[in-house]
Amino acid sequence: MKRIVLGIFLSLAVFQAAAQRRVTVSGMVTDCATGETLLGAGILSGRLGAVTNEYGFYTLTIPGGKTEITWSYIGYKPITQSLDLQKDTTINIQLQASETLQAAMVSAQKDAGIKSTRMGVLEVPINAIKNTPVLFGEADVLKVIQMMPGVQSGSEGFSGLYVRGGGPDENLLLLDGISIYNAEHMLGIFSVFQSEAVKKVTLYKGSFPARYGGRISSIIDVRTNDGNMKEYHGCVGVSAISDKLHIEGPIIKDRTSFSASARGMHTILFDRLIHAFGSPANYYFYDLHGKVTHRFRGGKDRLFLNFYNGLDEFYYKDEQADQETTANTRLSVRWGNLVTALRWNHIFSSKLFSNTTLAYNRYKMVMGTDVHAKGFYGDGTSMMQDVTFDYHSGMRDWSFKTDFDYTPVPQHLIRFGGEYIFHRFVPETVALLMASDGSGNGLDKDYGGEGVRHYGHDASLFFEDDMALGEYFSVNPGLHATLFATEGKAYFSLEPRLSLKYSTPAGIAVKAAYSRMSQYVHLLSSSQMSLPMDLWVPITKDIRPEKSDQGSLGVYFDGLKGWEFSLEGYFKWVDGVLEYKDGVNFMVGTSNWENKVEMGVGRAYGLELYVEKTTGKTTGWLGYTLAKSERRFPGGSISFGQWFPYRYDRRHNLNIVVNHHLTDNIDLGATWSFCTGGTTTMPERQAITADPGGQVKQTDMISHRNNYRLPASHHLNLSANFHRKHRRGESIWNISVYNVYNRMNPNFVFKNLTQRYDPASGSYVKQVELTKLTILPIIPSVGYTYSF
Amino acid sequence: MKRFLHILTVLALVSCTNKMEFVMESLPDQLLLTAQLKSSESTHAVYAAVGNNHTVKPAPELEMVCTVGGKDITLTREVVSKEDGLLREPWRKYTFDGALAPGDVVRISARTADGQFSATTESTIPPLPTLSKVDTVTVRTKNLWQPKVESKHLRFKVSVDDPKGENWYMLNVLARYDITMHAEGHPDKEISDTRSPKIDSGDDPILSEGVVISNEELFGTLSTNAFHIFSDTLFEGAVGEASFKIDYNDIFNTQFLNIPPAESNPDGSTKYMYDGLTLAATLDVNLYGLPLEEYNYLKAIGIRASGFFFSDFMEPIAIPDNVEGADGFIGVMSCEKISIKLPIREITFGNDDSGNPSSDPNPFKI
Repeated sequence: MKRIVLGIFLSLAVFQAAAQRRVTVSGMVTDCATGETLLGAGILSGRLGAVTNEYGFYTLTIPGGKTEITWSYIGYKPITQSLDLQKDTTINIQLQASETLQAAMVSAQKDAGIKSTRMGVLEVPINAIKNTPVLFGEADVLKVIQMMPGVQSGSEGFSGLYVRGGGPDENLLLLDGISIYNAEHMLGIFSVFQSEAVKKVTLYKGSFPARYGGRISSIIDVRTNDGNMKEYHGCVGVSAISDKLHIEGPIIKDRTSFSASARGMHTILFDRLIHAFGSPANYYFYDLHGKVTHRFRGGKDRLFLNFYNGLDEFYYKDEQADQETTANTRLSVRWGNLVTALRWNHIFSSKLFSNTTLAYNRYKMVMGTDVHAKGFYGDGTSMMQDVTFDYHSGMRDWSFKTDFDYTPVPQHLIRFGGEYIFHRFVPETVALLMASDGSGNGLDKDYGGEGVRHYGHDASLFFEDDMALGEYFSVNPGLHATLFATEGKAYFSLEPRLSLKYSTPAGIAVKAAYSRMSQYVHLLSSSQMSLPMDLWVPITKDIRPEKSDQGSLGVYFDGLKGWEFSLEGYFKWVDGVLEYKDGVNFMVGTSNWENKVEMGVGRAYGLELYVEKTTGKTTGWLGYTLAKSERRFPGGSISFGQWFPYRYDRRHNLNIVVNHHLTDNIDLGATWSFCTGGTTTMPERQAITADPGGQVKQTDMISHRNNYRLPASHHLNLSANFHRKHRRGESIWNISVYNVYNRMNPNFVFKNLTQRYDPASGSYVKQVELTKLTILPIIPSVGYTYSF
Repeated sequence: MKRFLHILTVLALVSCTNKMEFVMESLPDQLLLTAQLKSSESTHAVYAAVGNNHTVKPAPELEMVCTVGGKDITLTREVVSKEDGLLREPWRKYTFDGALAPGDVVRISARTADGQFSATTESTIPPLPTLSKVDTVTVRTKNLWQPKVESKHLRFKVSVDDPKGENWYMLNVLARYDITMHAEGHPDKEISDTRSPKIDSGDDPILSEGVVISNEELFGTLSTNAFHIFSDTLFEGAVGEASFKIDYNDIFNTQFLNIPPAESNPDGSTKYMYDGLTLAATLDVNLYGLPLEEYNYLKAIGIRASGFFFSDFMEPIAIPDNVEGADGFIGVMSCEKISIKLPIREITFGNDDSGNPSSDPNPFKI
């Protein structure tokens, strides 16, 4: 009897040991036609799941033995394999694209959306970027992001981003992990991201992962295509404004690929023609983007080389001549980014993955004038004068970053790593060179040329763990620590991050999150408007970092198939915001920008409703935001230290986006946007002032900044894409209408002082009039793209 | 520049410009009061008007009372003259006599008989500042745009004893002239005059509030701190030292003098002009103690008064308001001064052979 019992126990022990033995499955998920890695693809085995990271790598630890694993990705046919796993196994999967848009299989973990532990995170659908009607029919990443709840544009039609009451400099825009300082062309009408090159876009508005730092309002992580590993493909396109070209293909098949994109305004091609027609001015922009990807044998290493260069330039040339004098003038303003990066992915083991990046990033703005004047006088004397004036502003970053993904067990996804950035800022440089002919009738002077340079050492470490505690509860704690040293002073910041999620089988989830963020650069922008001449300035020994504390709470529901609902509330407190003091000249100045600004605090709070339909022929979303954003500067140099509305305070913001797959050849799109008007500063009434010398004057009375609310703006956009397959490719005609009912929304607002006759007083009185400039009325456009 | 770029952007795009429905609510008329009350003066003026969104009009008759140390003083409306410059302006001037000492609580109330307008304001005269020392030296300077021209300036260094806590100040200089006019064959005539010469303080970190502009700066040294106000945040210790300069031409320029003729014809025309004068100038360096509210107010109106405020390129300026029941600002300040007597100058105008004065009445040499 004892032997029987002992035998049963031993058998049970053997079975138990076998059942508890765990194996790790890892590998890459790619597109079978192009070899492109698929980011955020789902892997599910029973109740355990994982997603591919930003580089297409996944790892999943499951009980050994017979099991079934499914790999899926939206827009692709899922693959399910029955396996008998006895040891750690590498399985690389190639998914096939599906014509039918279907939701991905449910995965236990996701990086964004309802399934994620995080809140305030949205993944921007790539199809939406291509099909959503926007200005001039140009697919634009940032324009689509503006239609998400909690995000707004500064001005109607412009691509600046103002997220949860924050300024445009509080967004970290990453292009394959490298930050871009100014991501706008044409004063913000277009962004620098070309949709053909984009693979995935993720927006973080709150609940920031610990691996991100350096900005306090949002992170926009844009990942680009690696390039087709198997065949050459590309597209050429012409729209109302620009021309574009995209080519990708293998350099060595299944080993090395490239992806190259170029886009430019028509005016860059027809510069001489424009001058031939007598126009003294021209404006153009261009983007060049390139990437080379190499997979090493063994499949454990990948090397990437990224390049981006973009430029905007406006110039004006004038030649004047009469009998006595001639004058040639050239004025130019140009700004742009240059980014180069080398990245290395390495798979240490089935559970440990690393990415290392070396990068150089430069942003520069240059404004210059050249004048050459010559005069001959009646008395026989002459004068010759050359004047050259230059104004520069810019920054350069050299950076090194390494981060690791470690998944010891499925319940823990641990990320850790560090980064070092060396910053060089030159906020303002003014140079003036005057040369004459020595006749004594002109000036000779050489002034300036070397601006004040600021250097900063920015080192950070991070750690986070995405933990599943049971079936319904998950938590993501993290810590980001930064040390920033400049001008002999060091600023240290500890930034805790915490996200919590509780979900139920009924498809309801409740989430809460807290994030502390720090920022070490500021964009100085006037309260009147933003332009490329705005200055990027670093923190200094007197200007401290900007910090924010954001708490949020939300409820989510995805129990209705093909639909997702969410309602989030947030509160954000910001310390260290910068604005120009009252009465300061924000144009060309001296090297004393620090004395022109004041530091203050800000608070923003709001509610965001998001409803998305994700499957079927008709997809889209509705995003509504109710929000408030204010600032205060206790030092007294701005509105006497009172709270006043932030320049981009907008009470209501509603966006409706609908995409409909009418037939296999026709896609329709519609968007409707409504936004409470922005703020401006207007004289409230007339008053009299007396100065210490006894002078009394009539003056405009302003009680605080941003005291006037402009009218609300709204517009409807429609578009249609007509696809046609050819033997060697596909052509798409895009017809779109921006602002269908021609709503005259204000893009710029000017104040004019006029006079009118007042019958009551019998005299002429001053009157302030507002004139709005609408540069975006109804705009139909046609575009053509040929993909091969 | 920005407006220029705006327009150029518009040229590249389809655009429309039109007036907005600027719905600024029509506000009813409101009483406006303003004044600057100084402890160094014995006669004080308060200005009153009525205004709304668009216009300023004369105020109706007001009963205005000033209460100092519990004692009521009724202000009298002053009949203005051309010299006051108020003849065509819509505001009325009310004055009262009385000493204002540091620590005095000054309450001003104004109301119409029918009660339509009623306003009060209360301020406390700040403590007297301590101007411990004023040093002067003559310097010669050149500027970027006229490198061959040398100017002579009188440079001042002012020492302020700064008590604990936050303090705010204003600095100005008043020149007082005792002038004796000479003419051959005519009796001397004595006149007095005062004026405020222009203070050049852009290169001083305290008076420019940290925005120092050197003589080599592209856009000159003229500061937007029109009233030379400053706080003690830039003082390094218990004593603050500020410096500024005044152009000699500005001190001794006799063109400002309204010199009468030495002898007139029966029809009133000039028969003979004075041909020289003896000028005794005294410079009063005045240091004012300000409350924070007054400092903010002077900062706001000073930027506008500097002549360098261009609303298209500058941040808007809010103006404080400390009158209840009305709009406006009643400012108070205490004053301490040190006087500096300058050497007496003999200035000759010269007459031509006909005995007429030379065309340039200010040919003095420095």
